[in-house]
Amino acid sequence: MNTSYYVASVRSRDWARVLNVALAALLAGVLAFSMAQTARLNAAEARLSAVVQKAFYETCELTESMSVNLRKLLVAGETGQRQALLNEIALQAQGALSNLALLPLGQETVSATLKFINQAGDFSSALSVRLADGGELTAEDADALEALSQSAAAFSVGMGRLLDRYERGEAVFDASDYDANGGQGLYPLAQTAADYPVLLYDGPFSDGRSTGSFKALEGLGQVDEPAARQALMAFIGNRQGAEATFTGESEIPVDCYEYAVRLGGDTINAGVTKAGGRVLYMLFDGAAGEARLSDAQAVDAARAFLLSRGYGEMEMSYSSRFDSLLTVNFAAVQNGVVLYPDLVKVQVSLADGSVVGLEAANYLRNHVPRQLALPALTEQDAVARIGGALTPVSARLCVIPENDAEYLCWEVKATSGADTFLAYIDAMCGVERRLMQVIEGENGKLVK
Amino acid sequence: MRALRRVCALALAVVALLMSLAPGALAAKVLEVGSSGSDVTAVQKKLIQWGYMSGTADGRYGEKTRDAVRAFQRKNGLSADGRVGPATAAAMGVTLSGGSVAAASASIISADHRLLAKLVYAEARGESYKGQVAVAAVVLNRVSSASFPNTISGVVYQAGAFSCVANGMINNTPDSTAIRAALDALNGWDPTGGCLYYYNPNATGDQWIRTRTVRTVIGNHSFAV
Repeated sequence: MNTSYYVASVRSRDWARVLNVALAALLAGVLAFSMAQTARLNAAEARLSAVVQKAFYETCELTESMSVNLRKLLVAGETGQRQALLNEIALQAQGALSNLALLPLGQETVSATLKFINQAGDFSSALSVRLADGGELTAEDADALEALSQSAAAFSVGMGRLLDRYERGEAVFDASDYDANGGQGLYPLAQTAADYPVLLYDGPFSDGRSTGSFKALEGLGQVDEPAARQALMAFIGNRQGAEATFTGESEIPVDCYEYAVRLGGDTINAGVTKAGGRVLYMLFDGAAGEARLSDAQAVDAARAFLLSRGYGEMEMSYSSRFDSLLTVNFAAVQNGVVLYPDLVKVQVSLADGSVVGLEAANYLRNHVPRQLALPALTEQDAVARIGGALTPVSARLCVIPENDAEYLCWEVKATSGADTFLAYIDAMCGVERRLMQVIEGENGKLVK
Repeated sequence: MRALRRVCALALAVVALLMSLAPGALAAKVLEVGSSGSDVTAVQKKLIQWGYMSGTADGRYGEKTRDAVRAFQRKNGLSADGRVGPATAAAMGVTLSGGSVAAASASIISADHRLLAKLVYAEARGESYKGQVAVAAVVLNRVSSASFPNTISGVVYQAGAFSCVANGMINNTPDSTAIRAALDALNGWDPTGGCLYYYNPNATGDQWIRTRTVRTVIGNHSFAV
C-alpha cells in the first residue's frame, strides 16, 4: 500500500515538474511574442502619428503663407506679381486641403474649413485667369481678398494654438474634447466659415452656383403616379412582359416617382419627374448577353430612339463600351449649333440594340431654346487662334458650359502627330476657353 | 489532479492570450455552408475530380459540398468539420483568394475607377445595383462639393469619412457589379440627384447625420444633402 502510494506520488510530482518546465518555456515564448507584437504596434502607431503630425504642421504652414500672400496681393503693384501670388495661393490651398483631410477629426468637423480653403483657392484661380485675359481686380475683389486674408490669418493662429496643445500631449483630436468645448476646442476648424463673405465669382466652388433648377421642366403640369408609370412604359417601348413597380418618391433634386421595371430576368430602375412626367434616368441592372451589334449600329439605334422619343436631332459626342453595353453621349443641336450643356447619355444593349439606360438630368436642367448671337469671330479667325503645334482639321459652332455661364464657341478639331484635340475658341472674344483631347481606345471614343 | 487542472487552465489562458495578440494571423478565410464564389467552385471541382461528390461545380457551398468536404477531411487525416480552412485548402491544392468573391472579367479603366469600385464593394455590396451606383455617386458629388476634398482618393481616404477605410474592408477585391456601378456613376448616372451623405437609419449611432435632409431612400440607405 505504502509503496504504491509513494510511486504514484513520485509520478505525479515528475509530471508536474515536466509540465512546469513546459509551461515556463511556453510563457517565455508568449512573452517574447507579445513583446515583438508590442514593438510592431508601437512602430505602426509612431508612423501613423508622424503622418498626422506632418499633416498638422503643413496645414499650419500653408494657411499661414496663404494669409501672407493674400495680404501682399492687396499691395502688389504689378499684374505679373499679382498673378504669381494668386497662383501660389491656389497651390497652397490645394496642399492645405489634402493635409486637412488627413487630420483624424471626422468629416463634419472639417467641412466648413475645407469649404473656406477650397473657395479661397478657387477664387484666386478665377482672379488669376481674369488677369491673364487682360482683366483687372475690382474694388469688390479687394474687399473679398481683405476678408479672406483676415480669415486665413485668424485660422492659422487658431491652428497654431491647437498645434501647441497637441504638442503638449492634449488629446485635441478626441471627439470628447470637441463635445466638451461645444466645438470651441477646435475653434479654427469648426467655425471658419462664419466670418468670411459670400464669394461670387467664376469658379466651380462659387457660392453663386445654382443647384436646383430644371429649365426644361418649368411650366409643365404635375402628373400623378399612374400617368408617370404610363409615360415610363411608353418610353421603354411598351415591351411585352414588362412590369413596373412603384418604389417610392424622391427629390433628386427635382420631385420624382421611382420605379423598378422587370424585363425578363433584368430590372430597369427609373425616375420620372412629377412635373411633366419626363424620364430623368433609367439604370440597367442585368446582363446584356453576347454582343452582336457593332458600336456604329448601336449608336444608330440610340439616335433613332431619341428621335422617336421627342429629343429631336442630336449630335453624338463620344461613346464607351463596357461588357455588352455601349454608353453614348448625345448633345442637343439648335440650327446647326451643338449645345453641349444639353447632354443625354443613352445605354444600348449590343446584344439586341434595345435602349436600357438613360441619363437626362443635364438635358432637363438646361434644354430651352437659346438666343444665339451671331459670332463676332469668323471660322478663319478662330482657327488662326489655336496653338501653333496644332494642325486644324475642321470647325463648327457650339455652346459650352463653364461654371454657371454658357459661351458660344468655335469647336476646332485639330491634330498634333497622332493625337486629336478639340480647341474651344470663344466666338465673341477669341479666348481659348477649353482644350480637350480625343482618346480613341479599344472601348470607345472619349474626350478628356 | 489539482496540479493538472491548474496547468490546463493556464494553458487555456495562454491560448486565449495568443489569440488576442494575433487577430490577423487567426482570421484566415474559411469556406463553409453559405459561401459562394470562385473559391467554392475550385473546391467543388477538386471534390468532383476525386469522386467525393457528383454533379457540377456551381460555386455554392451547400450541404452536399459540406458532406463531400467531410469525407475528404476524414480520408486525409484532417479534422472533419466540413469547412474549408487553410489546412484543408492546402491539402486540396486550392488557394483561397482574399475577398469572398473574386473579380470577374469586368475591366477597370483607371485608378479612379478601381478605387471607386473598391469603395462601392466594401460599402454597398449587399445593396441593389441602384444602391451601389448611388454610393459611388455620393463620392463623386463630394469631389465636386466645396466642403470636401477635390479628388476621388481625397474623398475616399478623408479621415473618418468611410468606415470601410478604417476597418480595412476597402482592400477587398471588388466584384463585376461594383465595377460596373462605379463606371455608371463616373459616366454621370446619379440616382441620388446630388446627395453628399448616406446612412443606414437602422444601424447608425451618428446623431449628426440624422439632421441632414433625406432626398431619397434606396435599399437600406437614406441619401441626404
